Amino acid sequence: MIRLVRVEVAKVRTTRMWIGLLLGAAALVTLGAVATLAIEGSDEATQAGLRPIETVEDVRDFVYTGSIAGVLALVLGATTMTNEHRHRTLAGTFLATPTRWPVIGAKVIGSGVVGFVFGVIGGLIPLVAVAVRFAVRGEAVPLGISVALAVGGVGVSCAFSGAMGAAVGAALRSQLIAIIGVLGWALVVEPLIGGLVPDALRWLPFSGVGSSLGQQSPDLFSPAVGAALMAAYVGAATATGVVLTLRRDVD
Amino acid sequence: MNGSDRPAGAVDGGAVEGGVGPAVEVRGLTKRFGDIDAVQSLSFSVPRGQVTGFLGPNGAGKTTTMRIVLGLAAPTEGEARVLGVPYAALPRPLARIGAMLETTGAHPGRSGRDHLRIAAMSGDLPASRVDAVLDQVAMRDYADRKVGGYSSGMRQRLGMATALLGDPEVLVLDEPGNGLDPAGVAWLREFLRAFAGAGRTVLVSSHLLAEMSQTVDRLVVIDRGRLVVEGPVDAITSSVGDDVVVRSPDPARLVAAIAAEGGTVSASGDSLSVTGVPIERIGEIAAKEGVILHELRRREATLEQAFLRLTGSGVDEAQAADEPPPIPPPPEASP
Repeated sequence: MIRLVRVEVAKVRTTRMWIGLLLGAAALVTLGAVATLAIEGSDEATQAGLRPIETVEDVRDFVYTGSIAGVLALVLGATTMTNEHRHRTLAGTFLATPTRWPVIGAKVIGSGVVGFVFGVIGGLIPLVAVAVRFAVRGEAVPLGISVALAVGGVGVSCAFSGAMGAAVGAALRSQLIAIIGVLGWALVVEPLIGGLVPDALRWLPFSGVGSSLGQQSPDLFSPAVGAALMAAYVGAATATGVVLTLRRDVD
Repeated sequence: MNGSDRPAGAVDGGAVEGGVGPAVEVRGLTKRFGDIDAVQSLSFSVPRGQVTGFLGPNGAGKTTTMRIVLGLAAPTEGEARVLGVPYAALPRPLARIGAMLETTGAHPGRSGRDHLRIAAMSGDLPASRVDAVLDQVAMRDYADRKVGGYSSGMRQRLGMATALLGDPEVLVLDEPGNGLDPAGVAWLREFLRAFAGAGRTVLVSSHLLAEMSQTVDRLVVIDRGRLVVEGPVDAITSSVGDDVVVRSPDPARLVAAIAAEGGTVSASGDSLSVTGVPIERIGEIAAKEGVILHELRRREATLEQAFLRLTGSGVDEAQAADEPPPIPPPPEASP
């Protein structure tokens, strides 16, 4: 399985798509961080519920804004299997591994690994931005173990997104439907459900479960429960992808 | 592809040990897509150490059969075995079977070398094989280019390199000559002969019938998903028999007279193909009917003629890209 995970990471690494998506994720996180720092402390920001970043906890929460990188990890994950359909490379992949299910497993794990890298970078960008802001003021940024854990939490959250994207992509053949589907779910359907049924928020994969490792909120599950639910969601989505892949003929 | 970048090289390694039983065995294979039977109760075997050609018109079920043999599609009924077991049961299958289907592609944004490296890694094959197969198909100079910029001939050679990566005992190739220039086709012919000469096995489908006749030892001919004939090329060709070509400005009168003698006539313009009546008798019939002849000659049966008669159809449409178009079926062709 380790060999197949290395294969899947190599497949991502040897094309340029990951570069574009990583740059997109970095730009998205940077934009959000700079915008937040620009209005931080203003009346508008206070009215919007944004507290000035002063304490270790404030820095930790600010780091977690990097989890938006998970959206791009989700897209990258969704393309790992659908790219094989699109470019007709799946036959070659299954000729090497005809039992098929290890390939899906490796894609999910490999996308998780790539998603983790996206997340760590996404978590470090706000940290660097706020450190620069403190440095400009001649102050040291307040740091603590919780900040480091938040960076790791963003990494795990994005790893979850990448893995979920790969599992959903394995269940669908069309790249377009897979990308629109996962983005539509994460960016439209979940916020809608969370708004209409607030109690359901904690169960939602991306807004709820995916956030539980970094954010401290009474509306979310504890990190331990969140991690267990992440594993369950990824497992269920992967199992669906495996069953459908085993049933299908390869074009 | 021009002559300067044509593939060169020979089969790697020495002869392989002959195993027991056929290299590929298909038994009672049926594949149904909705109401359509793409393959119907198909059975044939591919002996080891030979090149077996797999022929059939477009839509005959060749690619579907090959996909089933390689475990990429599930049969509705029957089974296919490779080296005695289903493909999926082979440990490290790329080291035993090399395959190139029309549907096995490469990511256009990846270099040829990276494509092969990933395939080697996937198949648990040594990375050193990458340069070896690049040399074998004369692609080393183009290996670091993106596949998206390859010509169709270069893509075919990359596909061949991928199939050869595991230095396999058996090659399963679907239309490997597509996109190759004449030099590339000649290389492919020599390569496949050398491959089989080393005791290895090839199952190859192709619409280049003249090439097939020079390359293969045996044929499996299918049509509409069913087996038409299976056996040595010479036996199949000779079973069809020679015909007589007759050209006349007034072929219609000859057709009726020859048919009355029990002959079978296929017409194309002013040219007739006659079987079942000796050439001397045809000359006598023409003289008796007062029909002028512009040509009267015996024509030895070719693989193409055998194919056309056995399948009762034209050769693959893809042939139009590489060869002159086939003679259209005559309007009053006799069975």
